[in-house]
Amino acid sequence: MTNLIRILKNSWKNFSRNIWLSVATLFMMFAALSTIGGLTLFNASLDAFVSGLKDKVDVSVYFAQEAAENEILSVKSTLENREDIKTVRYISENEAYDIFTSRHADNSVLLESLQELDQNPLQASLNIRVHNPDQFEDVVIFLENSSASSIIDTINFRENQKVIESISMIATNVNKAGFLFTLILAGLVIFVTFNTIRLAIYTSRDEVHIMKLVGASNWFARAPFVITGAIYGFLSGLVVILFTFLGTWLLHSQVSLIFADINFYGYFIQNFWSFTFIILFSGIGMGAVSSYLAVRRYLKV
Amino acid sequence: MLIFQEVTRSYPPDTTALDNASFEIKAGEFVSLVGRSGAGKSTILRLLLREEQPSAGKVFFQGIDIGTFNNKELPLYRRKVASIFQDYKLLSSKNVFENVAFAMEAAGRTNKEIFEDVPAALDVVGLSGKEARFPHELSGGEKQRVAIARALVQRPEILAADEPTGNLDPVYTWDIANLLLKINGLGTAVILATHDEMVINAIKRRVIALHDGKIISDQQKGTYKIK
Repeated sequence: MTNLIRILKNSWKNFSRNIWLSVATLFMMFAALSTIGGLTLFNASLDAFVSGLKDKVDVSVYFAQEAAENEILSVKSTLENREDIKTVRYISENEAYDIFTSRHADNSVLLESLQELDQNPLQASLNIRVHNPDQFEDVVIFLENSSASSIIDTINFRENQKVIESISMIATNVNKAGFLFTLILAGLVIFVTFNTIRLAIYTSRDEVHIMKLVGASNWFARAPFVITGAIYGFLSGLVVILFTFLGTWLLHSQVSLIFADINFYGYFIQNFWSFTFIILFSGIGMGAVSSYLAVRRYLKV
Repeated sequence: MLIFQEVTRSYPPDTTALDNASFEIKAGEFVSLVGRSGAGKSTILRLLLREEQPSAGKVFFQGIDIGTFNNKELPLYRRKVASIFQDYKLLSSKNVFENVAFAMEAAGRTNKEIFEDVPAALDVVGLSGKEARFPHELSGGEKQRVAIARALVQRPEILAADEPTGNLDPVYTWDIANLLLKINGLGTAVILATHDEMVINAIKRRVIALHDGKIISDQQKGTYKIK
């Protein structure tokens, strides 16, 4: 316990008595952790973009005029039991009529010709959304081979298949590119942090040597540097969190104007604790591990 | 207590810093190592502190080959063999008190012991009242006294002094030489590597002379004679 207190005291002295070196290291770690914070927000916005894209994709199943409502609702409940289905919305003939008339309210010619008809020409339909656009094909094959196929008139999947596949491919590629980008940048951040800490410890290499010569164990000589590294990570992490809060809050309205699906500030507030954990954990972890590795070479005395 | 047994230290490609050196130092002895630069004096001290390992031969401390010490045993050994250097080797970010206390902290001594021993050691070396100063605020002589105080609180069996007066003027040189004799008087063996002819001739203790890595003489009450 006494040793632990001594190590903590020595760590704090390391930090406070080399204040300019500490400030320079903090600045570099702030830059590195800001990149991690930026990556977290970038991935969140990428997720929002991809899921927004996927949400725009749906397939409608149109039923024959003679199909009874309870038969259609039975198909709906069968579909809802499938795991790949996200939502199924029933649009009756009357609702379809209302939607059509409100959508074409300014086209009087079209509305007048609709009124000329004896009966509602629009069909009842089920509007289907799945978790992943790749799953549409399975759902459509299921419907085409089920007993409900006799009351189904058309499914607009085949017509839209190419568009759906393109959107699905874009979503997958955007995710892959985002992952690769994150990986490269994270590697760069680790590299920069390690070298920053290594430079900071390089200035103390003689001190490590002296500590060893007066009989300090490897642990006693190394621990203050590791804890100082963790302090760098913790303090720069706190500053990054504060700046992210202010940044997302100040830019909130401007970003929302350009990208409707992206709400950095909302994401930050909603995920405050996990964001804080990621930043502090990365900062403390990178600072401590980099220090641990950087001191190692000077302990060989 | 300390035995160098046919110790050779060579560096590639063909430099031999110490060549087949053998000698024994008893507990409480005062031994000076003399010789020109590159004669092998500092190499002996580095081997003693196990900063380096012999290329051939062995160094025994209290009957144990120091080359066999592992990472846990080495710090315990170094607490018994204190060292002072020409360049003082003080921790620049620590003040005088902390520099001296560090050796005791590293040895796991209690705060009570530290607050008793450190002021006493600083008093012995004449630095009472300068506890809060940092190394850059001290003169060369004062820095060397801090290093001696640090060695003192270790209560070592051996004090290895590598050119401790090399950077000091004659007044400080005598101060340091007297302190080393005082420490030796307390029972600590002192091994002093030096160029300082005046000091060697004045203290009249055992002198081991080296030339090109070889021991050329070993006199019990020697004077400064080199090739």
